[in-house]
Amino acid sequence: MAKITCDLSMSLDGYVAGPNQTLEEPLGHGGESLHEWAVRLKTFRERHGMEGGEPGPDNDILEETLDASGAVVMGRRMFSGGDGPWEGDPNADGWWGDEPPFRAPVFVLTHHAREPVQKEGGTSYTFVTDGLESALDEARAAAGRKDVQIGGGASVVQQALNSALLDELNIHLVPALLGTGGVRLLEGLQPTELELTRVIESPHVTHLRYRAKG
Amino acid sequence: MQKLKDEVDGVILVAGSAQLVQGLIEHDLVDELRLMVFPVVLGGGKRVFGDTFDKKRLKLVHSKVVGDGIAILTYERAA
Repeated sequence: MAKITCDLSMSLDGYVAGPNQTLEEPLGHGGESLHEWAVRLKTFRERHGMEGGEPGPDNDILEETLDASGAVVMGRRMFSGGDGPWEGDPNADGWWGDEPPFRAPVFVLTHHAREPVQKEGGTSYTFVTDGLESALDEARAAAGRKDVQIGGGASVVQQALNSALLDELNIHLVPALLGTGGVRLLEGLQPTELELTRVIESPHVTHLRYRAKG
Repeated sequence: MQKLKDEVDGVILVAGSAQLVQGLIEHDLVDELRLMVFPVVLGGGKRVFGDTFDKKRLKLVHSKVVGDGIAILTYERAA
């Protein structure tokens, strides 16, 4: 059966985004630096319509993750940064352009119903209004034998952990302290034991894989 | 602490005290940070890292897994 997985870049002090998230700085102040390790990679650049980029172990991990994902579930804010009715959302088409990097069906959690949207390159957006479990069911059906990736943000991942819906948590630990506030991943959680199943070290980031015991 | 670093040869080990460690990190007085990450979510408690300092870059110099999935991560201050 398909696994429910999640991959997040996190600073050493536990942040997955910086403070003051805006349309100009979707990841908050300083939050971009959490993804520098990925942006330089060949697979990332290719997925975002750019040339060049580095191969290597980090790239292998990113490629493995993307290839394994048959569907994606994300929160409304990760999709567009907005909330409330779509008519009032200045970014209602999402952050991700006409050819989004997901190349798979994406299920967006929202309180506001909306018709599905088909994008180029294999990405489609389906808007789910009846909660995370329902979105995961739809994503599982769409993913076939592949994994379902919970894209974020932090609150969706926290909900998945607290509801024992997550099978695997991949933390890409960035050797920096953000220190100035922002969005923490490991907050508002029930006490949980995990199992460390893989550690891959590289100069820019440490890849930690945990199995959630549920 | 700066005075102590100037006067003492060898390693000064701070074995704990979140409050002291936060102050030392804030003032760039920690040369090497050794973390043991246990595969457990506590859901509450005292944090190692405070919210008071500016962004700081570090460099991973060593990692090792011991026991039941405990990751030992050693960082140095990045130049």
